[in-house]
Amino acid sequence: MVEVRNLVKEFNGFHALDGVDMSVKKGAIYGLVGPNGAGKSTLLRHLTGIYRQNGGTVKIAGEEVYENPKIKEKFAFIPDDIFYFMQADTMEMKRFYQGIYPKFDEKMFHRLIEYFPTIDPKKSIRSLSKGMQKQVAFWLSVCTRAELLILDEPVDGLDPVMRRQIWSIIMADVSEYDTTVIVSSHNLRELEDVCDHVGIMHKGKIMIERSLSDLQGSVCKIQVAFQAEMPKLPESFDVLHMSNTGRVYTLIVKGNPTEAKLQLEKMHPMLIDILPLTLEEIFIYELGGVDYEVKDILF
Amino acid sequence: MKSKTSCFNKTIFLKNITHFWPIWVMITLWNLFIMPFMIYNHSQRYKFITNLSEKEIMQDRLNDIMNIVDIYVNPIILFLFAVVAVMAVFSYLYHARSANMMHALPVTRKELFFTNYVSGLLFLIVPQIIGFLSGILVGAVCGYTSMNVMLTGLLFACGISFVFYSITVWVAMFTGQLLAVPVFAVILNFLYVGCKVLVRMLMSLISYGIPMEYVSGRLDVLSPLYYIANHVHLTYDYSGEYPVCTGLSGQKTVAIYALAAVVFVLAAYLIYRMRNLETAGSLISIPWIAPVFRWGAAFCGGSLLSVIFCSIMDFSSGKMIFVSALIGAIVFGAACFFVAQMFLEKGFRVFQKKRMLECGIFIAIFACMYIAIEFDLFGQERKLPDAADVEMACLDHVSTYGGSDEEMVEDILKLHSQIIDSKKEFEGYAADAYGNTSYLTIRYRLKDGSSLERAYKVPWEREMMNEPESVVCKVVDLATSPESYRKELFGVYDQEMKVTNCQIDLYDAQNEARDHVFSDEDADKIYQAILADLWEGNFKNCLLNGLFYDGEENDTYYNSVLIDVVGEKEVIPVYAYYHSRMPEGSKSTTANIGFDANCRNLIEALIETGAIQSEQDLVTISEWNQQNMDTEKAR
Repeated sequence: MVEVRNLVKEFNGFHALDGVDMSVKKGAIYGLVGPNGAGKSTLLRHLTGIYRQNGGTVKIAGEEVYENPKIKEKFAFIPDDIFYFMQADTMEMKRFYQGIYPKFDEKMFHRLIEYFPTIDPKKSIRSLSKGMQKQVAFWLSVCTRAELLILDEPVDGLDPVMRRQIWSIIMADVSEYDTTVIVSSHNLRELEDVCDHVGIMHKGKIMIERSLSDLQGSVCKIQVAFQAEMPKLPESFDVLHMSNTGRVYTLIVKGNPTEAKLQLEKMHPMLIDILPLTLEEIFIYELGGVDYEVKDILF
Repeated sequence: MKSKTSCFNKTIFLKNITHFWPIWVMITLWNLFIMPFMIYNHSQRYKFITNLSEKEIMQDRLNDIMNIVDIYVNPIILFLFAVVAVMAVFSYLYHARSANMMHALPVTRKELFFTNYVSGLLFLIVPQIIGFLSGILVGAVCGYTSMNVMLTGLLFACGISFVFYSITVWVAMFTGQLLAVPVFAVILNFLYVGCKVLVRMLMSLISYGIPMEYVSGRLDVLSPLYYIANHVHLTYDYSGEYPVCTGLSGQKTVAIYALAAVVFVLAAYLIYRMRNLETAGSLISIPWIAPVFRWGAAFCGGSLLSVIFCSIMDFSSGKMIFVSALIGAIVFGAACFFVAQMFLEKGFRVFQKKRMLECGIFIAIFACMYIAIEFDLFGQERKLPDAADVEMACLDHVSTYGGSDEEMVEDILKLHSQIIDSKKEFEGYAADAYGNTSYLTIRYRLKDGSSLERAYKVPWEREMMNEPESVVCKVVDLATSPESYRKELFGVYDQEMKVTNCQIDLYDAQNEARDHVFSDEDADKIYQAILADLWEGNFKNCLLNGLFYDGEENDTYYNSVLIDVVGEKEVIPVYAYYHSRMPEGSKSTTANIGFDANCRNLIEALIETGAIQSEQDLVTISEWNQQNMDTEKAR
């Protein structure tokens, strides 16, 4: 569905995107994670045809996005800070979207009213709270019948109930219409619940792009305890991090968890346990490997 | 439904109409006020007019419409409306949020640009059409028949609006700041004339003989608002008893600008296509414009502030003026350079090595320009036209003296050359606190249509009259010649004139004034006597008193003869004749003639007509002043 190859964007000599490669399959929910300033929003603005790249290609459904309304009809974009016309209410924005997006589903719009009970469709959107404005954005975007939803920090500012509601609308859309979703967020726990693919960005590049299950299978947390001191680990062991509480050691190991367990068992531990890593932990450990600055604060 | 056409999007168009309604409502109200309301208002006064003939009323009504149309096509108002319209319809470009939202929609930049362009243009044109149609309707009801004038007005208003709107759209594409749009639009509309004035001010300050006065040129067309404001106006026919408005001038100007505006629109679209949306919020949105902005701001700001600095310092020596101007240029030029950079960077951290170097290069070039002006490397000080190229030459002093005959042109050229050669002497004299000086302007109208003007501060003392080759002597000879004075009194054409009114002010012993009005027959005698004195050169002493101020001693009479004359041809004042290529004037004029005891013919005529009994009835300026002082003391 989305293919980005060697995407480069320069702002006054600064490389905000430095050769980004990304591919998102149809129907996938792709989580784009990365520290502040990694280039996530810039990448999304290229995916939506807002920015013109200095190099590389951005294709959706096999065609370049920039200045291509045919392709732009296929996606809806909810940016971090949403814009509504001055004085416009939800009904007016609906009419606008209806005029712009040929597949806009008016019936769906009216059906979804019950999901947003706090929003008065005749009230100026700019006078609503940030969270409510975001709800309006979801409401309208879902009704465009887009094949691809591009969401930048989508649930930021929403209360927990509304977050869950929004995600359930999106998930229903994905399952019913095979919609592809690209979502950038700092809330990794939330992404972990909804994403099936993850791309980790750092310094204008996508460092890792895998399915969540692959990612979770490639790094694991092992808790191990020995009678005496911790024996010397084999050379092949790629330990990202190690800490201990008494005799119990916690190792974050890169590689296949089963193989790691087998090797450790040869050292006759008193206790060995393999625990899955959360997305947040993977993010931290992976970026810790490239000298990400918050590593030391977190541990 | 989405529009099928690729240049226009109905939804965006409707959004513009519904969201920016205050703008088009405001413009419509203005047009309704100007056209139907003012027509109705003017028409009401005819209810109270009973003493005019049908023809005169018709002419008055035409003048009403002309004056209304003149406001209707006022370029400044049309420019303001155009700027507001551009700011509204392209406002989405100036905030990252709105720019991102609009460009993420499934519309091309072409659709966005042309839809917004058309929306804004209609905000201007439709209200004008509404104003015109309602004006026609109200005009017809109120008895106005000059519909063609209103139609002309509509075409002018639409044309001018199109020009200003298109140019402002073009300007708007270069910036990412909404408030910079009106600022840049005003700057662009006055950029050429503004720079010309600046350079002129600078040259007049540090160069010898360059006047400050603005001289219009063909390239003024590069400042559209200035040019249109000066070329689109009502024209009058002065041949009748009173001036009659004949129509609006400047059709060609508006038509040519409208053609140029089409190019501006296309250029604006191309820039819009090139524009990177991440520049929303930046002062300049097109990278290669940034150095132009920096250098332009440094040049204009540096020049202006250096001129102001010099004016504050108020040096009289030429060298000191130059040094202070140069220091001002360097300091203020550099300051403006970095201030401009601060605007570009939206911060104060602009003193990087690269910018310092660039600023150094600018300052070096800027200083070189000043030095070149001071040392006349452009040859502006020594510039003298070839006699064969001169159509007319004149001197402006107390009045304007000159002509187009070969002898006069040669004389003025020689005088000019003498003044140029006396640069050191004259500048030294001007710097001397005790030396009397006077401003003298020399002006040539050249056969190629251009003009050359120089202004000098020349030493001006009555004693210098003793040196026949002195500049003072030559100017005085020219100023006091009978022909010069005749032109000053009765216009440039030497023609038979009929006196319509003549009077003299007379004073009693207490300086109380009374007017003596002459009969037609006596008025003619007075006129003939004035002409006789004029050709005999009897006014020379009186004119000299006007040219030199000698304190309280002045033997010119305080009495003066006021004479109204009508000629066969137009009476064109000397100043207008020498300063305008196509001067206009009426057939009548009034001359206020001062005289002294040398004007024997006039004094005899005054006695003969009974205005005075003897010369004793006339009072000199010195006597009048003395009498006044005595009266004051007595009180």
